[in-house]
This record gives sequence, C-alpha cells and structure tokens, in this order.
Amino acid sequence: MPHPFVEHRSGQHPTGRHPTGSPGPAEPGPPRAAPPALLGRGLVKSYGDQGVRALDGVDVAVAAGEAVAVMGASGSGKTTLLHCLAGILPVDAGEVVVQTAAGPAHVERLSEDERSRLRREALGFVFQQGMLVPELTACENVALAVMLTGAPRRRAEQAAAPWLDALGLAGLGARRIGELSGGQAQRVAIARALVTGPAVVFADEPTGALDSRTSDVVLDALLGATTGTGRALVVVTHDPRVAARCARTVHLADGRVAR
Amino acid sequence: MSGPGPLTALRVAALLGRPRGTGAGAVVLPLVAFAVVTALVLVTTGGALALWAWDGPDPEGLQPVYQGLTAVAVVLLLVPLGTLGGSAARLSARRRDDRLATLRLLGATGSLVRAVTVAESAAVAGVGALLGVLLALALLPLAGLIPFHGEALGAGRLWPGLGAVAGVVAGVVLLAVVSGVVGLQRVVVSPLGVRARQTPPRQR
Repeated sequence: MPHPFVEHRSGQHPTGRHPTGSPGPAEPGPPRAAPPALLGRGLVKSYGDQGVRALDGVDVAVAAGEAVAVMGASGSGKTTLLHCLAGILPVDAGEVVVQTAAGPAHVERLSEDERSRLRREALGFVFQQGMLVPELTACENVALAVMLTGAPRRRAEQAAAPWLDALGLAGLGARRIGELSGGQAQRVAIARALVTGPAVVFADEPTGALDSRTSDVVLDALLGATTGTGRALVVVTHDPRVAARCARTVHLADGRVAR
Repeated sequence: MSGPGPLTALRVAALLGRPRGTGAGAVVLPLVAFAVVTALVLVTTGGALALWAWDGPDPEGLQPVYQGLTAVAVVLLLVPLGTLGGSAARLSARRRDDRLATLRLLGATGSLVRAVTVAESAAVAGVGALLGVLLALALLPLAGLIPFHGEALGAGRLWPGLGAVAGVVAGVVLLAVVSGVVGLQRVVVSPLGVRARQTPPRQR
C-alpha cells in the first residue's frame, strides 16, 4: 500500500532513526526558511449538543527543534488542542499540517486510518503517568510502538534497547513497569514516543505525577531527546517551571490564545 | 518494513496475552471458566444424547417423559452456562481495554485493535475449551455411574461424539470472540476516555 506521507529508505535503522547516531536524510531539522514542523490554523472544536467550543479559532506553529508549552486553566482547551494537533480528535474547522519526511500531511483531510498511521509513524506521545502497559517490561513497552508499524518483535526490541540506554535506563529493559520508579517509567514513555523517529512529540503533563527533582530529570531527558535532535515538542502543562524550559508558551483561555 | 496486518495483530496479541506476574489472573481466571463451561456443557449434552438414544429396557414406558425432561434440563443448564461463558469473556475486559486504548493512542487502527482482540479472545477460549474437553473426559466415568432403569449409564454412552465436541469447542470460542469484540467501540472511538476512566463529552 503506498504511504500517504512518509517514505522509508533502505539501510536505515529499523525505525528510521537512531538515538545516538547522526541524523539520517529523513531527520527533521530543515533550514531556517523551512515551514513549521507543526502548524494549526483556525482550529475549532466543539463538544456536546450545546456545541460548547473547546477550541475557538486557535492558531499555533512549532518549528523543528522548538519546544512550545501550552498552558491554561482547567477547561481552557489545552488538552483538546493537543489531541486535535495529534489527530486523536478530528477538528470541526481549521487545518493541521505536520511536516513529515515525505512532505506536509494535512491532518484534517486524512481518514481515521491515515491519522492512525500518522500517529504511529510521524508523531510521538508522552502522556501523564506514561500510559504504559504494566504487565510488559520496559523494553517491551518501547518495542510495542515499533511492532505497530509491522516490525517483528525481535527487531522491535533491538530498536528499543538503544533508546532505553540513551535515556539512562541501561540494564532496566527487562524490568516490568511496576518495578520502576515514576521517573524511570516516564523515561520509558519518552523512549516509546521517540523510538519510531517522529518529527513532532506531544507531551501531556509529562511531569504531572513526579516530584520536582524527578521532574527535572525527566524534562532534561525529554528536551534532550526531542529538541536536542531537531524534533518539535508540544508540552501541555500546568507547571510554570516546565513552561520556562520551553522556547515559547501559548496561553489558552476559553478555547482561544490569550496572549 | 511491512505495514501492520493480521501478522502484526498476532504478534501484538502474543505479546500482550502472555500470562505473567500480577496480570496472570486476568488470563488464568477466564481460562478456568471456559474449561468448566466446556466440561459441563459436554457432560450435559452427552447425558441428554444418551437418554435420547437409549435403546435399553423401558419397562414403565416412560422414555418419552425422560426425553422431554432431558430437553428441559439441557435448556435450563445451557442458559446459565452461556452466561458464565460470556462473563468469563468479559472478566479481563477492563485490563484489555486499557491496553487496547494505549495501542489506539500510539497509532493502531480500529481494525488492528479488533484483530488483536479476536486473536487474544480466541486463544484464551480455545485453550480453555480444550482443557474443558480433558476435564469432561475425567468427569464422564463419574457421571456414567448414574443409574437409569436399574443399570449404570456408563461412560461410553455419555460420550457425545467428536462432532458434538468440536461443535461445543467452536461455540465457546465464538462466544468469547463475540463477547470480546462487543464493547470495543468505546476503545476504538474514544481511547482517551477509556484510559482516563471518563465518559468523554459527545463530539458534534
């Protein structure tokens, strides 16, 4: 089946990227004049019979290698914005464009299956408390994301191992999630988000359940593995300390960009 | 790299479905339930077929009455056993839904999630049903001691035959697969709600 937006090159790392290797030809990090890695324009999203607008004409652009924090009070629409940008929720109006290796992908025009494919091959996710599978080991959790692209388990685990090493989890790959600390588990979630070589990584309160010291460690790992390798990062957070580590902050209020 | 398909579904189901650690109970309990249901259905069916095919002495001429009572007994037993089978299939639904919602968020298509469910449900029910056949074989000699018209029925008379055994095993697997797939819609449409334990607001 022809791929609608991502091309694969022979001889690449199984996932197309390698955490410690030099960026390949498909690595994000275009020249300065390049279009944003992620663009949302005029985004509108409503819920319920009353048509309550969670997003009301939001514009946001994130360049490759840039980290943008999204802040706002509960119910301001920040999580809805993240889910719409990531293709998890369809927008009612507006456009979302993700720059992939094969060119721009207009998310709002993609079918449900195509959006799923975009998520597993061009986007990465770090959710609050990881959303890891507790019965699986750290390595298997990371490998799972690669297996969804069609790779056999052994190759997926081979792709996962260097990411665990790069995130300071060397030797912990065989441990189940319940045997890891909160910070270690969240770094497993970061490895899972990055193992498929996404151009854009979304993080929803990635340090929400962690103490401040562990938050710093996890945030260092997240920023190093994303913006540090030319990927765009969108972080939804309540924590001003997290926002301060990002290049820009988008403040949402009542579904609109406040400033 | 090949795209995800049935092979991917089997690989993912094999990884997720392996019983281990604290999650083992979620696999073992349905396995036991399916085994018990299969064994009881086979023994019940075998008993009914034995009485319907009875060619021994019938001095009181009550054979038609026995056949009618047998039919009623089979219905009365099969309905709760079917419910038990359905419950066994749903026993691990909560845990399964969490994992499948995670897969959806990571980019698994709805069809892949359904295929993983079918593979996992069929595997658990299939193994459970085969264990149930062994359990039924162990129970038949005991059930064969039940006297009928003054003589023991005998285990041989209660054996329902390979065709009936295959039908019961297939029925149990089908019940598990249908029960597993029904209720997946929420996982497919709203994986975030499943993971966050929320009923999401209706989308316009």
